[in-house]
Amino acid sequence: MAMTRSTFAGFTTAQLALAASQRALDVTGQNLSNVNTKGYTRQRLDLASISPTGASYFMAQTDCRVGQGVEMTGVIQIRDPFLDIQYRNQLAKVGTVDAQDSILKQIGEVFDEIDKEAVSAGLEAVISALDQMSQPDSANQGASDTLVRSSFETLLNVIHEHASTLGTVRADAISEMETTDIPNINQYLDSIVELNKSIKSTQILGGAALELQDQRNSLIDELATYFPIDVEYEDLNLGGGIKVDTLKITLKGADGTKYVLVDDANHGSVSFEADANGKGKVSVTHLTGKNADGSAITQGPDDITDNLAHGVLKGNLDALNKSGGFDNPPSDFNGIGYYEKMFDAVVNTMVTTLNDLNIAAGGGALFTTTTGATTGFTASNTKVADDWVNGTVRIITDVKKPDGSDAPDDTTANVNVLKMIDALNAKELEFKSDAADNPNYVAFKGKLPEAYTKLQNLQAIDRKATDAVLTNRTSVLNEIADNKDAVSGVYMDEEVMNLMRYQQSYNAAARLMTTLDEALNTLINNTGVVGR
Amino acid sequence: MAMTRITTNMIMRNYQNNLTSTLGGLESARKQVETGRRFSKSYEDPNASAKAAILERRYMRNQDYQRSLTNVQKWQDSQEDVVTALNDMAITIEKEYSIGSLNDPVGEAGRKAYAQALEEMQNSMVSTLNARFGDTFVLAGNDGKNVPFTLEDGGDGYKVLHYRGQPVSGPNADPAVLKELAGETTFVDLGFGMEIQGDTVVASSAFNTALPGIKLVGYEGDGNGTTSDMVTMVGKMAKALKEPDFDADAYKTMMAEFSDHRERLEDQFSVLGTKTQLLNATKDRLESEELAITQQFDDAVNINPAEAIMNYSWANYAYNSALKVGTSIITPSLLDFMK
Repeated sequence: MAMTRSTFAGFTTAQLALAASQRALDVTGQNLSNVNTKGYTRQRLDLASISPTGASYFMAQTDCRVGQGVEMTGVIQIRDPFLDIQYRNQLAKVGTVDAQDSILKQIGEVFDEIDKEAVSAGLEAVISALDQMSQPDSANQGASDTLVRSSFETLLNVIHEHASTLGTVRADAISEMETTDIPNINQYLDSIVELNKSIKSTQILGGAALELQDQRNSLIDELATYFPIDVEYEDLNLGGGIKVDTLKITLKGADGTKYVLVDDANHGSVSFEADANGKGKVSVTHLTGKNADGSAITQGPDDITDNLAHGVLKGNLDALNKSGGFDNPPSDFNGIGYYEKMFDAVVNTMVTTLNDLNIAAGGGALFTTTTGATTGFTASNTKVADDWVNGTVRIITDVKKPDGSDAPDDTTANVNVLKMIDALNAKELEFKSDAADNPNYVAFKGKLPEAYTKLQNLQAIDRKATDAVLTNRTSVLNEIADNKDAVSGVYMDEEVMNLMRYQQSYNAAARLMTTLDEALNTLINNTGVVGR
Repeated sequence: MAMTRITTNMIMRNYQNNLTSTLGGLESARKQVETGRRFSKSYEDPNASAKAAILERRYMRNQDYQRSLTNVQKWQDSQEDVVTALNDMAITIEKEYSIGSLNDPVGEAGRKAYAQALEEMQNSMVSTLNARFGDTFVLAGNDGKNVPFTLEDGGDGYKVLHYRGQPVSGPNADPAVLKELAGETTFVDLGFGMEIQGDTVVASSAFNTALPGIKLVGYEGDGNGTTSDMVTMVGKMAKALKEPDFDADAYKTMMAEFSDHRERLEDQFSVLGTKTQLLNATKDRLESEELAITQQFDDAVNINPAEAIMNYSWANYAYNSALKVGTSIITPSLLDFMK
C-alpha cells in the first residue's frame, strides 16, 4: 500500500509555486528597470526543488513519493570575477598612459611651433641680424649692434615665456595630485569601507545586498585606475550558520610587495608630497593587522613612488620625476624634467658660446644671469647683459691679432661676427647637462637649431607613441567591458522571455490551485451525501 | 562557437565610441580643408614636421644670402665705378701729358701749367680712391671707417700717396706691411658653405668683398717692379715738369711705368668682372633654390585642396551614415511584439 497523502498537501505546492513565480517576476522587473543603470549586474532567482522528506513505517515496494514544491534559495548576481580582475588590471594600464598623454599634450603646447612663430623664428631673426652686421658696409656700425641686441632680447623673451609655461605644467601636475587625485583615492577608500559595513549588516540580517555590492564594485573600479590592486573576498563565519563576505583590497607594488589598503571595516590612506625641486613622492599608510578590539594596526607612511607598475599615479609621478637621460642612472621616461633640462642646455650652450667668442676677441660678456653671473644659465634666468644695454659692452667684430693684441675699435673686419654666425648656425656643439649629479651627460651633439628641433621632435614622437598606446589599451579595455557586459548585462529579449515564462508558470500554478480546489470541493462537498 | 549575449548597454557603448571616432575623423578632415595643411600639430606627423622645420631654416638662410648678395653687388658696383673713374683719368693723363704731347716748344710757363694740372689730377685720383658706400670706404680693406688715402709731403717736392698712414712707395715704404695690407680680406657668407678654421675663414667657402686700394695703384714690393705707385708717379711727373731743365728721358721712363700701372688697372676690370659673374650665377642659384625649398615645403606640409575636399566629403558621408544607423540602434525587442 502506498503512502498516504496529506489531503491539503497540494495547496502548499501550488502556493510555493505562485510565490516563486511572483518573486521571479519581481527579479525580472528589477532587471528591466535597471537596464540603463551604470554598473548594474543582472540578478537571477535561484530555485531548487524540495525533495520528499521523512521515512514512513508504511513504506512499500513501490514508492511514489513526490517532491514538495519549489524553494527559492536566493537572489544572486551573474558576475564573472575573473573578468573583473582583467578589467581592473587594464584600467590601471590605461590610467598610466592617459595621465602621461595629458601632460605631454601640455608640453606640446609649449614647444610645438607648427602654427606659430616662437623660438625657432627668433633664432633665425638673430642670425639674420648678425648676417646684416657682417656686411662690409655695416660692420661696426652702432645701429647694427643695436639690431642684434634687440633681436636677442626678443628671443630671450620668448624663451622666458616657454620656461615659465613649463613651470606651470609642473605646478599644475603637482596641484592636480594634491587636490584631486590623492583626496579622491582616500575618499574612495572611505566610501568602500562604509559600504563594507552596510553590506555586512545587510547580509547579517539575511539580505544579499546586491545593489550595494554593485555600488562597491563601481568604486573599486574607480580606485583601480590609480594603481594596480588586488581584491579578495573572505567568508567570515559569524556563527549560527551565518556567513558574510568581507572585502580586502591590496595595492600591488611593482616588486611584489603588498600593501593592504582596505580590510573589512578598516582602511589605510595615501599621501603626496612635492619637494622644492618639484619632484613628487607618494606614500601609503597600510594595515598590518588587527587589534583585539578590531581596530587596525597601521604601518607607514611607506614611500611607493618607484614601486608602482601602472596607474594614474605612476603616470603623473613619471612625468614629474623622470628626466630620461639626464637622470643618473638614466630613466625610461622623458618627463617634464627632461624638457626643462634640455631647454636649459640649449640656452646655456648658445649663450656661453657667444660670450666666450666675444671675450676671446677682447670684449665683455654679452649675456648674464639675472644675478649677474656668467655661468649656470637656464632658460628662465638668462638675460642680455646690462652692460650691453647701456653700451659699455658691444659685439667685438674682429678677432684678436695673432700677436694677441686687440683689433682696433673701429675696424670693419668681421671675422668674429662670422664666427658667431657659424656658432649659431653651422657649428657642431655639445649640449650638456648642468646637473651636479650628471655633469657629463651629452644630451645632444650637433648644430644649435637642430638641438631645439630635436626637443620639438622628441615631444612629437613621445606624444604620438603615447597616443598609439592609449588607443590600443583603451580598445582592449572596451573589449573586456564588452565581455563583462555579455555576462552581467541585461539583455532585453531575455528578460522579456522571462516575463512570459514566469507569467505562464504563475498561470499554471494558479490553474493547479483551482484544480486542487475543485478536487477537494468534489471530495468535501460532493462525497458521501447519500441520497441528498 | 560560444554564443555571446549582446546586451543593450554593449550596443549603446560601442555605438557611442564608434560615433565619436567617426566624428573625430570628420573634424580632422574639416581642419585640413580649412587650413590647407596636412596636419596642425607636430605629433600628428612627426616626420613631416621635422622636415618642415629644416626647410624653414634653409629658407630663412636662403633669404639672408639673397639679401647679402644684393648688398654685395652694390658694394662691388661702387668698387667698379672707382676703377672706371681711375682708368679714365689714367687714359687722359697718358694722352694729354705724354712726351709726344709735350713735343712742341711749350716752354717753362707751359710746362708749369701742365704740372699744375697734373697735381690737380693727383688730388682727383685720391678723392676717387676714397669713394664710399654708405658710411664705409670701399677701398680701405678692414679699416672702412677711416679715410684710407692721403697725400703727404714727401720732402722731395712732390706729394707721396699714403694708405692708412703708410707711404705706398718710396724710401720710407715698408714692403712687408704693405703686402699684409694688400692681402686683407672681408668675407661675407653667401651660401658657399662657409667654413672657419680657428680664426681664419677658408677662402673658397665665402665671398671676399675687400679690395685694398693699393692693389689698384701699385705699391712698393708688389712684385711688379714698382718704384712709384700711380698717384705718387703723377706727382713726380709734375715735379719733373716744373724743373727748369726738363729731363725728357727721365719723364719718358716715368710715363712708361705709369702706362704699365694703367694696363694693370685694366686687368682689375676682368678680376672684378669675374667676381660679378660669380655673384650673378650665385643669384640664379639662390633663386632656384628658393623655389625648390618652397616646393618641398608645400609637399611636406600642405595638402592638395582637391584631396582635402575629397577626404572631407568621405568623412562627412561616413558620419552621416553612422548617425542614420543610430536611429535604428534601439532595435525593437521582444517587448514590442508581446500582446
